[in-house]
Amino acid sequence: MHKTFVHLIKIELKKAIKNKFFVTTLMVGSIFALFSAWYMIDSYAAFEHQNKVYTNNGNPMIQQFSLFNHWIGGEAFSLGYTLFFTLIPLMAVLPYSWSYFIENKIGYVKSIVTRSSKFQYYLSKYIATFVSGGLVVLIPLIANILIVACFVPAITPTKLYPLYYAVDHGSLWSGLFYTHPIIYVLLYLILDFVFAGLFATMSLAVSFFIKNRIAIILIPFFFILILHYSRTFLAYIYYNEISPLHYLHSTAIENYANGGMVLTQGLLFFILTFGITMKLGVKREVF
Amino acid sequence: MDESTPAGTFIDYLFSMFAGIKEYVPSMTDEFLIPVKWLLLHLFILYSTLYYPSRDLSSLGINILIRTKGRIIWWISKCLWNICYVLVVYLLIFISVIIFCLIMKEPISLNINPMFVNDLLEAESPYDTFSNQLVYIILLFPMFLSISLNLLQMTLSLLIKPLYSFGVMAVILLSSAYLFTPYLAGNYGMPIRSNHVVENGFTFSGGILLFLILIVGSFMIGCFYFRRYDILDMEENK
Repeated sequence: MHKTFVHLIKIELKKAIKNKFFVTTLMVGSIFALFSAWYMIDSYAAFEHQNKVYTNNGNPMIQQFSLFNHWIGGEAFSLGYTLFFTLIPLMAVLPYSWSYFIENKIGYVKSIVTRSSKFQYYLSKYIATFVSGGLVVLIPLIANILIVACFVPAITPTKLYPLYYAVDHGSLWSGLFYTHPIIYVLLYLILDFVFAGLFATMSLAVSFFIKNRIAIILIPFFFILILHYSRTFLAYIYYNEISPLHYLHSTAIENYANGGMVLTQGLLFFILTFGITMKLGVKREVF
Repeated sequence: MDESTPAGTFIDYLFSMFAGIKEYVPSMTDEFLIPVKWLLLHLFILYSTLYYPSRDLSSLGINILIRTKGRIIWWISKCLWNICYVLVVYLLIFISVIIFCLIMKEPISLNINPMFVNDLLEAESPYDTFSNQLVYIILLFPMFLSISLNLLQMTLSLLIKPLYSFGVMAVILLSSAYLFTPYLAGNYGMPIRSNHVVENGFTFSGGILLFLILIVGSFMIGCFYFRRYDILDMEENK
């Protein structure tokens, strides 16, 4: 049984990553990340030039600009950042979230569950969907940080320049940002991977209720946009970030990321998506 | 409500819905905030028209095409359906706002309150009064933007998969919000960026011209491409 599951998960992961949707979405995400890198490297070069011309004496303000406010997760003013972070819920679902709907439609599910079990099939489907969604977001982020790091020094941020480093006291992992920024960035990469994976599994869960491929793929995107819009109603009432589109970004965009809120939303998304997939999947008759 | 605060009119509420955001000047200390209300409105309309044409083409449409023996007619009918759909959606929006005004006892008029524009929308307009042309821009341009993008999306769906076509539209809308340029249609669909609100804003004639180019261009390209389009291949890949 264990061997069958390992084999099944290998097949699912291979299908999830080696398909044209994954490659196309990864390319699009990478283009957004490269746009951001290009823009930020260019603006850093402009700053360097300005620094040479105007600051012959006094504080050169070297810590003002560093890798940690120039990579796509640290800057919030380039077109690349805008496209990448707004479209994360859409990019995450495109590679493989639709697969269960198609496999159920063409009868592939039947041939798999007769050779393994429903539990194994749905668990491997959930893992593969999660991984594909996470990777399609994680890889461009890593590519961006590596490219930017080739041009912009990784100087440890300082609280002396709060305008340039929007990570305040009480914000998620803020202590790490000013002491071990590399670990902070790594944690954010993991957070982005996890949430992108969860967005992808939202589509999988939705496919148990809706029989329209386009709706299955777009519902999580609209859900996250509506959640983002609901921030409007909490203005001047609640000062922590509730929108994943903002808290997946390592520096604050409007409100600060609260660990409790991030954990609560993450757990809620996981319980709902995993619960629906495993409970309905195992319970539902495939024949 | 403060006595000195004027009541919001029908057009004020519409302006608030369709406004978009003012010009964004990139700066390390000023983060870009997406105009989510504006984006959701346009994306939702784009989503609602995304599925039907391709589904129809891969099901009932084939029989209709064989019987009518006219691909162009089928394409025209889908373009008209798209335009009618958008018109109905905007009509519903207008009716909803009228009902809201009736319930809240707000005036149903086309007078724009300058206080509303500058304080609530934070448009930073140098003008004290607004011309009637701005009223037409508020009423028509978001609708024209939806029609243009819907037709463009349908045409693109012939070349790439509908979902990617929707993705391209989302990129166009987001880029329009970020870039203050007359070459991106979304800029004209944001009345707050009109030259009647800000000095360097976009003109009425420029908007009409761009929407016409998009509508006619999408229709013509669609017509040309659809004449040679392999429908059976689409049926196999559905």
